[in-house]
Amino acid sequence: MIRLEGLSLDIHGAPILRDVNLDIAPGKVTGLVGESGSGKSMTALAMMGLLPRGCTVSGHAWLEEGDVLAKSEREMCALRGNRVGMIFQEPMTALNPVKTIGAQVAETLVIHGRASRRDALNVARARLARVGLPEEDFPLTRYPHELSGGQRQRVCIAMAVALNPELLIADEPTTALDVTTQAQILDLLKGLVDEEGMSLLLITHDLAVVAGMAAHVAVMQEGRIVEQGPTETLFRAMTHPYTAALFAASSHQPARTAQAQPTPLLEVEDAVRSYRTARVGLFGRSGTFRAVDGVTLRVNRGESLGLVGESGCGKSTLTRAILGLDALQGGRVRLDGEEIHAGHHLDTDLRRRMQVVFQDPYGSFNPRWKVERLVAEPFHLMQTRPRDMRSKVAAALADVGIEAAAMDRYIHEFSGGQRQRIAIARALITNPELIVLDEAVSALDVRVRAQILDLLASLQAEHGLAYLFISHDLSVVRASTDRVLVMKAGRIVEQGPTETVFTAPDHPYTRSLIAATPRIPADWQGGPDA
Amino acid sequence: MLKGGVQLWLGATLTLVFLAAALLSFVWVPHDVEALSIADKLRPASATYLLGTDHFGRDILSMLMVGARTSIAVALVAVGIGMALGVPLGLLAAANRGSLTDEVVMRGNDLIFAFPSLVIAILITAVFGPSALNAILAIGIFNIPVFARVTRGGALSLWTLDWILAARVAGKGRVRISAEHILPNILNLLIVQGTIQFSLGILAEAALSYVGLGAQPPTPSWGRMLADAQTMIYTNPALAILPGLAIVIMVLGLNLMGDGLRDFFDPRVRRARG
Amino acid sequence: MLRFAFTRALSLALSLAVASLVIFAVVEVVPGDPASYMLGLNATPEAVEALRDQLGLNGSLIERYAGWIGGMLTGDFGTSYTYKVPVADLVARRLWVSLPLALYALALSTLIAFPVGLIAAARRGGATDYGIMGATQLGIAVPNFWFAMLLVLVFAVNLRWFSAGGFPGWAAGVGPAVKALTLPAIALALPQASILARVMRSALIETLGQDYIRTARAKGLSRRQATTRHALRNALIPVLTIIGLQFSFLLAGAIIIENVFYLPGLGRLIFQAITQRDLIVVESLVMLLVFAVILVTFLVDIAYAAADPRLRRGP
Repeated sequence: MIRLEGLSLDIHGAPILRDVNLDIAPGKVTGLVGESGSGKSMTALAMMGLLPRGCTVSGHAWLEEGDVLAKSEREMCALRGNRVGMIFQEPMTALNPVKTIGAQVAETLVIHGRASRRDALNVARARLARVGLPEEDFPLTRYPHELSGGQRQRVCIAMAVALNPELLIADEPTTALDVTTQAQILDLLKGLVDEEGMSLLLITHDLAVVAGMAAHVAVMQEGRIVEQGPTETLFRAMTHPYTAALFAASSHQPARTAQAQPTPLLEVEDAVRSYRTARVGLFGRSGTFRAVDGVTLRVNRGESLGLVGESGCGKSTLTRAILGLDALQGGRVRLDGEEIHAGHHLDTDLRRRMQVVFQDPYGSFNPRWKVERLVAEPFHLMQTRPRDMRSKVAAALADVGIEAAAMDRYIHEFSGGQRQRIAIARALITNPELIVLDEAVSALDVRVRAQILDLLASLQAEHGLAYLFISHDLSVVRASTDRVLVMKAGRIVEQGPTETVFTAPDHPYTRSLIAATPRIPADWQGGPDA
Repeated sequence: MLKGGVQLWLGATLTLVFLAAALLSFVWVPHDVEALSIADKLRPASATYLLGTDHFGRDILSMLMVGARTSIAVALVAVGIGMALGVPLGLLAAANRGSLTDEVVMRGNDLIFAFPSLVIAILITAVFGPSALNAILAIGIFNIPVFARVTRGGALSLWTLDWILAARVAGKGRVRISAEHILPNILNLLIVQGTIQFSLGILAEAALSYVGLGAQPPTPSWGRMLADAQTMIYTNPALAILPGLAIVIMVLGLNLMGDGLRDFFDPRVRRARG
Repeated sequence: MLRFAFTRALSLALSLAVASLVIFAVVEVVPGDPASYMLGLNATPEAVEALRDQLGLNGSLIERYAGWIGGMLTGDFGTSYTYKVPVADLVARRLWVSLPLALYALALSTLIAFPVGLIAAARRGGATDYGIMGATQLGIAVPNFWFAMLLVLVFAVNLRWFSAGGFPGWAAGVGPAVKALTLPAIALALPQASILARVMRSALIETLGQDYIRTARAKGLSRRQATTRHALRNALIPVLTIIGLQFSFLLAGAIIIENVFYLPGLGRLIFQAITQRDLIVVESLVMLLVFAVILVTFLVDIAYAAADPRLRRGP
């Protein structure tokens, strides 16, 4: 049994973990869920002895070899990668870019003196094959930048389990990956646990992932474990209010009234956007890559249209074309019958009827401007600037639930959820008819996300807005849209009313997407609901 | 290096002392530097001549003060040239990334980088004769690609951010965005680079004057003083040591100030300060 | 990789060509009539005409430019107007002073800076780090020619370990020649080593903060193993560019420092040529210096691509 006892952690005096007690069942998957900032990652780092400088830690972390927290650095080096392995959230930066994947996997073996250089490569070959990267397709001499995110994460897993550790800690291993890749990686991890008798501590913010993977789960809030136990029992009972709140938020359905009108507002016809690719060979020709390959879609007035697809499908390129930021190489975009041209013809009156909210609340605003100036920026599109700009800004902020005094503050004083509200206020300021929501809730914690979705629904009802809801998160799209489009490799492969597409998908790709999405079994809906 | 604040204050103080001395020299110096007084030559430090006199009887302290004028003027104008031309070029290149404009600016940068400022000085003085103005041109021209590169780098990292996209959605064009959004956010970078180039300019001016390609006599300059002192280094080492010390302290002050400013502007360091 | 080298070489050739145009324009076009400029105000028209013939200045600009370039490619750099000897001869001998000096200084600078930067980064925030940062801060502020004078004062005049100047020539043996270049090389190397040490330190600190270092630690590598096996190699890549840049500064510095040590290198040649208005020497020497800088930049680019697989595009 791997057990954390009374683990407490301070960083430069600020309390991060408070008396954490956690049991990790051997040979099984234990989930650790919580929102960002709850201390989940710190718990993992404490178990590995990889805490940053300035940390004071007390308590015990019992492995088979004894209390990890009482060991010397040299003893810990012998343990890491050998008895305890860890994989992290960002596979794109987790590998050394100038070393081959074979060398990096072999290194684990060589460092622990388990194999000579040559033998280590053989073992590396076998481990890479085990994680789904067989040598025929992925020679050991490949470099990380030649692999996708999912493939890089597989290499990280191979490195971490090369010596068959007792425990593998996975800190948000699939958060940065597409839903289909996520499903594959989770299956891989499950397989390793079953076959090799390894314990897995799966850290995630996603309750659905935990429901599908973990035999036991612990819920963490602000540095404390508030509840833990066998997964199904815990989900059904939900004794702690925080768990119930998390659960309610992740299955939250905003109260929407469908108010779509049959008249089209935005029409995209056969849009094509292509790029030139680098030349192959010394004198080869450069190719063209079609990011958007003949897309036709229509958003009706007052409608909420979803657009789902995985990364690389062309959604962002399409979004920029719709907003008139990039020129199309074919086809056209029309708003209310009039064509939108990218580049210098600014059609300002047309543009002001269409606004956007972006994904990253921390990158959406100029850090040097005050909120008033930030929200008022779209007024640049109006022919005549309104004289009562300030009161208009105040009204927009009030609409999204931010007090007027915020106008004179700087953006860094606000939380992620508040920033998204301000971003929505900025999108509302010109009284648009269509708002493009480009992954607008993807970076938010689940409870904040629920609030923002509610806000969006009420704004839609109040102002008669149409939404183009772009997301990779199927459950969010399902709860918030009237119709949905599925995009793959630059094309729309399926479209239709949301419920129909989700319950009876037509295209095999849509089916694979839906099948890959983790969900909490419906009959586990126990405890108080929202 | 030192605690952030100390570095900044120490550097600023040192720099200001020299700036003040240079400015003061316009209205008053302890002794007139143009009056040669052979009778007083090579005197050691005393109450009248605080740092002694040189081989022409000129007060070394006064020479240093007036020399400060030359160094600062040359370095400052050279930085001005670099910024005035380099920053807009960098902004232009970043706003049109990947286009022909960008290529041209980058190639132009590389071209100028192939000519160290000494080489530019050689070219200019060979044709136009040595002077302080030519030294300014030589150092200034080399500063242009430095600022262009720093500006372009800083601007490029901002162009991909969402809030620039939001400005484009608000209908703003590239020039407007460069002015309203990009420039204010790279100002810190430019200020720090400016102090660095200023200190490098002082060193470059000294080197050029030393080999005779900079300010010509009778304009005093620190580099020239060192060249004159070289022949007498065995008998009167002070003549060679003092101007060099002046250069070292001034450049040190500027570099400390630059580092202090960089820490001051760094948001991570700022947050730690609370 | 081959394609990369090829495109870089083309780019290099282009830069050289444009640089040559610039040099040609400044030296031969701007003064109006180079011959009368060279002879000065008191020259008779016949003398000017004779010089113009001798220098081949009577052809069209394009002819003259082509002639100059063609000459350089075949090793003919013109004849010095002051010394009446082929410039190539003048340069060859002196190149063997300036170039070794610059390389000697580059080697010293690198040898000092690497361990110093490494230690400072490894002991970041501690007393050693502060000490090193302070010392390098001072080192950057010191003009290399002044430092050279101080070195002469201490080591040549007082301690008499080295001579105060002069160069015995390579014919006298490698030992004495290197000894004569040692003080100048040290003087040149000091400020560059200080800069390089700081760059090394910050490159290493930044590399140590990367995610893949954390992955390496999670595999069981100790801090030292992670540094030597992963961080060091990656940190060297940006440092390479700086070294390449330093070469051009060292070459320029060598030219200046020869003045302090009375070394018969390119410096003396250039400065005399300027005072004597020998434009032919100036033109060819500047071209040579620019060529050296561009060549080193090219080599650095190649080394960069060899070190970082992400830069090599294609199979």
